[in-house]
Amino acid sequence: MSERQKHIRNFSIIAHIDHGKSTLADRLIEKTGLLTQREMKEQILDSMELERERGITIKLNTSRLVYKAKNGEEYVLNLIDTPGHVDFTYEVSRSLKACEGAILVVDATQGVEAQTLANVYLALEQNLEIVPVLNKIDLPSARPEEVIHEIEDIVGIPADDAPQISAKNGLNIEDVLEAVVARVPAPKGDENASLKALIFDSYYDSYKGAVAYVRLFDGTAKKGDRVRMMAKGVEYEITEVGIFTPGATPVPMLSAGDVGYITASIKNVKDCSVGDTITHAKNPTAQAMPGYKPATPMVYCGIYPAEGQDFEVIRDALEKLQLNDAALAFEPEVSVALGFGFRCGFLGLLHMEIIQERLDREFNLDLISTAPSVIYRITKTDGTVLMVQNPSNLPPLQEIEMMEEPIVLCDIMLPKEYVGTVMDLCQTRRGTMIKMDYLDERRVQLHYEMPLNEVIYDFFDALKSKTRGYGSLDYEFKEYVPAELVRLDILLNKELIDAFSLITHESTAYARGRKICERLKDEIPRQMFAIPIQATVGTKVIARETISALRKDVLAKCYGGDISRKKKLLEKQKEGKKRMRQMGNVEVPQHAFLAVLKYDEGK
Amino acid sequence: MSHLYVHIPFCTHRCGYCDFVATEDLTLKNPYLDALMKEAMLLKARFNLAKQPLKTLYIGGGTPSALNAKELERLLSGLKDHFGQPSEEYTIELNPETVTTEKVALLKRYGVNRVSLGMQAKQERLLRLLERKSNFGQVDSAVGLLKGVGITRMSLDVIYGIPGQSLEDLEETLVGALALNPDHLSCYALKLECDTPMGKKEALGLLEMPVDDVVAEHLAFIVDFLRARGFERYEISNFARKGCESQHNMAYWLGTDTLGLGAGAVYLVEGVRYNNHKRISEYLDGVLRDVLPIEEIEVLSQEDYALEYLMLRLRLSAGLNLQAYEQRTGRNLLVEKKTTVDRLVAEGLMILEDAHVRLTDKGMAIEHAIILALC
Repeated sequence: MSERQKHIRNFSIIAHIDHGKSTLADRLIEKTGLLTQREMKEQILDSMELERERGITIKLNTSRLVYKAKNGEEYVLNLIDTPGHVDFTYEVSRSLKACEGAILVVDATQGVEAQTLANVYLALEQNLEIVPVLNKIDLPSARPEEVIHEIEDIVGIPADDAPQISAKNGLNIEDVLEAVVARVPAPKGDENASLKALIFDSYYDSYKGAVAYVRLFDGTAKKGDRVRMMAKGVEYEITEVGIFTPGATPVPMLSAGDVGYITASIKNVKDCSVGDTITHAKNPTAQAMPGYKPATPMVYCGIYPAEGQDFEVIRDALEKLQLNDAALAFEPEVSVALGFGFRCGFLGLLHMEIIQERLDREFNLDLISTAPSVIYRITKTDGTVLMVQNPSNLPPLQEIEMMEEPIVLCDIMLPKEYVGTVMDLCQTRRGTMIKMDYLDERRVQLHYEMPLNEVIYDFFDALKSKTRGYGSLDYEFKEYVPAELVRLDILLNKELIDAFSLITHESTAYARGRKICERLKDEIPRQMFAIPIQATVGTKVIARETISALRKDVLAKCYGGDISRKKKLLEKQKEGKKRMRQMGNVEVPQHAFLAVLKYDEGK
Repeated sequence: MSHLYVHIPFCTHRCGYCDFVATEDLTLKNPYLDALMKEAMLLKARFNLAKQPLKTLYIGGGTPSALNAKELERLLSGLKDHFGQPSEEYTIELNPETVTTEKVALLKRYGVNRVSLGMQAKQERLLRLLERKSNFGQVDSAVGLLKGVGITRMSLDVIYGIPGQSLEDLEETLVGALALNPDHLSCYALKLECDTPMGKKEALGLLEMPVDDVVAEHLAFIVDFLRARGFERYEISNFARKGCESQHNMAYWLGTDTLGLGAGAVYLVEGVRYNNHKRISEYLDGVLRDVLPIEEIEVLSQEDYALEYLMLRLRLSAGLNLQAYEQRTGRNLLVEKKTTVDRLVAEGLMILEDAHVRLTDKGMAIEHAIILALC
């Protein structure tokens, strides 16, 4: 190992959501003098506005810090910021592959929570050195001694000399830096060996092409080098290498142990695939790094253009988003009710909401999204197995031999006083309890198996509300399990509106059907003729409502001065009609659609 | 140019629901009358009117009877000088509490042959709710005075859909109205605009308007009641004995050219609609500068014509002549809107007969929605 390498530390920060990792990252950047306090925008690493608004990190960002330690020596600390929500576990694991250590931030007032554990397990899987840090030590409700015990008991790593800090106030930040230098191993690797660089993320720059975030395990990389993407088998010439300070800054060369970026005028972003290894074309390394598991979408929804919008515009937008979000999946589909659109796959509900917001905000798109759905496994009588996410693609009942739904394992941490209500909640969501652990005198951890389609219907929000915000959830796919599933259809004016169709468990079909009928009745304005609304399963009507016909819609006085006014109103309403959807000869305003298709609240 | 409307925006008291061009500031009466006469001259010059006889003249408000006798005479004589005597119909709107013997005599002298009286409702409590200052007794007296001088053509205004008004109340009002022997009734649903006293009360939750279905029932009741007693519903809100329809208002519904004088007056000449200033001060300013006090001019396009033709004709029981409509607009309604027309006929909202379409009573109650569907 070279002297240079001995003074490098590559690490991430992992934590449960809101425990302060981004604030800590800010302080580390500040402390190491890369930017002055004035230059720092609050939580600079959360580069997107959306992230800043929601206070969460979505996209990876890395930063190279230079720290002069107490021993007088200078160290290069490569910090990789990671997202903390249950949807983005796979992004966390990618960045961890590039590190030797991880700072585990634990909120000293909250203690160890569901994602704390989930992330720690990921780090342990990568054999990272974990450096626990207690944050928010300044708050009156901080209980460091207890939390240290929690970490030792629950996580299983020693924590009695964990730095106790306040990231917000900048207290004891140096202790963290010292701990990183002392405990995170220096990166191994031979800078004289052939280049072996792992792509742990990428983004698309309109000038530079695809930019690969790399961690060099062996060798060096510089401008002009001819390199090969080992899995893809394509070759490129490096146009630029650099580091993140935190913005992209070119450097002459990257060496083993370094974290930085490589650009090579890669126009086809698929050539820059995360998990691939970059090596020299002439003298390739013997073995590529083991690749990653591709991110599996768990939740799907249909995205359609609002009346008058072009579906191509949506495709462009989705393609652009996909450049920087490999987890987003989409493919075209058609709906009788809504026309041409896309079926999009997401890691979870948060991922879905974020993409929807980005489509609205960054691309200014007016969209209709159908209710989120999961993937069902359908075995037909002729033996074929189908994976169905779009309810309209469910084969007719007589052709179905077996239907299976995805089940997830849920870890729920909550204060013990809410155990009863949360168990009830899980029960109503068809959950099966696996076990209950007492973490300490205050908290309990529940392990439940639950159908994913119940979890995606705002289970997280219900959990939060029933535990007054203290509950936390982590889930992962377990298996497919046979289930009595049905397709719930909605008919407006006797016509089936495919966009409203849902696949749901037999036991919930009636309640859902009734709720949708009631909602539609409230949201659709009365029209010249009475409108029957029906919820059906197969041919059986399981719920119905009727919107009675309009009985009064008249301008009583229409003399000289009234004529223009009435005419203008008619013209305006005529325009408004164009923005309404005609379904079954019924004018359905946009808000009606949205109100019904958003998942239920108040369950 | 056969039809003239004259607006008198003064009132002794503004009613709770009123959103007309009207003021309680009576100091402006004489300056206003001056301006009216000036405007009349400007109008005649502008539209190159020789002293052609009018067919109808309609004095509306506000409360034209808020003018005292002297002012009223000034108005009537001025109009006579400028425009002569209308050949068919000379209407004036009156509020019963401001009708006096003297004024009535003046009306007769100047050839007014039709009166429209604001009755609204018979019940005191409803009149108070509406913030009207008159009562039924006064209506009765006023009618008596008018009959006394031989003004026989009379229309009464009635309001339905008042909060707390039952069908019994409505019937009582109609019975009371008919006892006065009018030849015409105008019945309007109460509509509250936000910046009226009653509108504000509603916004504060102090007043609750009846639901649409109740109002629809009121209207249906009125139609049946009046029809059974010899009044034909010739327009959505207007009922008349045979031959007693308002000729002046027909001009609006038939899209005929009209003229107007006064604040807020709106008139239509050769495809252009003129809107006078609504605010009296601005109206006066305009005329003072020797210009017609026009606030806005609207040049009607083909589309405007087509839409107005459709929406106005369907208000009339006579309905819409499909061929005439097609000639004017190029639209063959039976082809372009076949499904809608068929459904409307099937549901009893519209009748298709002899190349005419007309709305049934049920259809008239949702006239706006129907026009929206057909336009």
